[in-house]
Amino acid sequence: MSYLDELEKLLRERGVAPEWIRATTDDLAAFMAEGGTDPEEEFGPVAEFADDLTGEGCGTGSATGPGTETLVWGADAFESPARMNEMGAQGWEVDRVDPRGRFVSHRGEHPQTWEYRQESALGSRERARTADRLASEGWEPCGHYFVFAYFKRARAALVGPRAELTERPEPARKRFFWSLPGLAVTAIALVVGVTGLFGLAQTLRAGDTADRVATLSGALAGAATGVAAMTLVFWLLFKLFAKVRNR
Amino acid sequence: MDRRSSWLKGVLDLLVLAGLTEGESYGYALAARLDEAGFGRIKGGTLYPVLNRLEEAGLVVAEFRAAAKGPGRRYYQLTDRGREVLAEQGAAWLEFDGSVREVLGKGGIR
Repeated sequence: MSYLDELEKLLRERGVAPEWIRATTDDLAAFMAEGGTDPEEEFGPVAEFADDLTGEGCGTGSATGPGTETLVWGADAFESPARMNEMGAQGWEVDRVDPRGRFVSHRGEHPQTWEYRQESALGSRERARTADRLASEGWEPCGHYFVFAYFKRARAALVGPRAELTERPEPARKRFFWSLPGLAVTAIALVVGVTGLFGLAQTLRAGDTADRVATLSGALAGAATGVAAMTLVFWLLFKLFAKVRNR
Repeated sequence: MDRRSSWLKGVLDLLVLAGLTEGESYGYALAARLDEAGFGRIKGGTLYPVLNRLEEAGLVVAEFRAAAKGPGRRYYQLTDRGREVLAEQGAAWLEFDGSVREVLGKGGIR
């Protein structure tokens, strides 16, 4: 297997979008063609390069300054608060949440501990209201994803210099953390989705063209109604929750 | 890591941003320009993760273009946020450089 084939496989395993993989491997092939270099020598060991490209490596040096470690990691919504606080206790400060919902963090040369909290906030206005409510306790926003807003607070604000870490614990090798409820919800969603699609395929196979058109139209209308109804229910629940919380 | 590599690692993102101020460019051309500027041959394994981090941070945007012959390339362009960060962090670097020069000058290094 060539270097770029191996890289493609590793990037696929890390859940990178196929079009991004194709653009990247094509670009790297063009780079090698122009430079006439050996890929291993040019890009380094393929597994490390895949980690670096996906931000899963523990790199150093960025716009945040030399000597700074960076780490990109994720967790499902049930697991996030506990994991964030665990990483915070190791000196990792979350800078932002990337478009894939991962926490982009760094740890400086003299790390200190951080605390985090996850809040449900629907839309930018609700996020701003939540940020205002928490600001008096020293919390500042550090990103949002889907219906969740994340806040961080330096422990130094509460305990002073004792928040500074004397050791730099190595982070876990894992870069995504699942909880049992998260796994259960994902499994249920998968089973419902697959069962629905299987049932639809069976019905489509049985009927004639007119039946198929009618079945497909019905399925699309049903799916759209279901999604709209669930969105409305969640939206109302979030609004109600926000109203009670901000009272 | 030798001292020069260490210096470069701390400033490579700014050099890449600076290399895009005159217009879009692609990986190999950016590496070649840095080589010409005297930084030596920057390997793809060093350059591409930096480009990805800059893209993730919204400081550059990348567009893939297929080529009529051979593999396509990703072209990178500076964003407004990238210009702001370059101005801010570039000024901080120059201030740091000034302090180093001053201290070295006092030590007789010119």
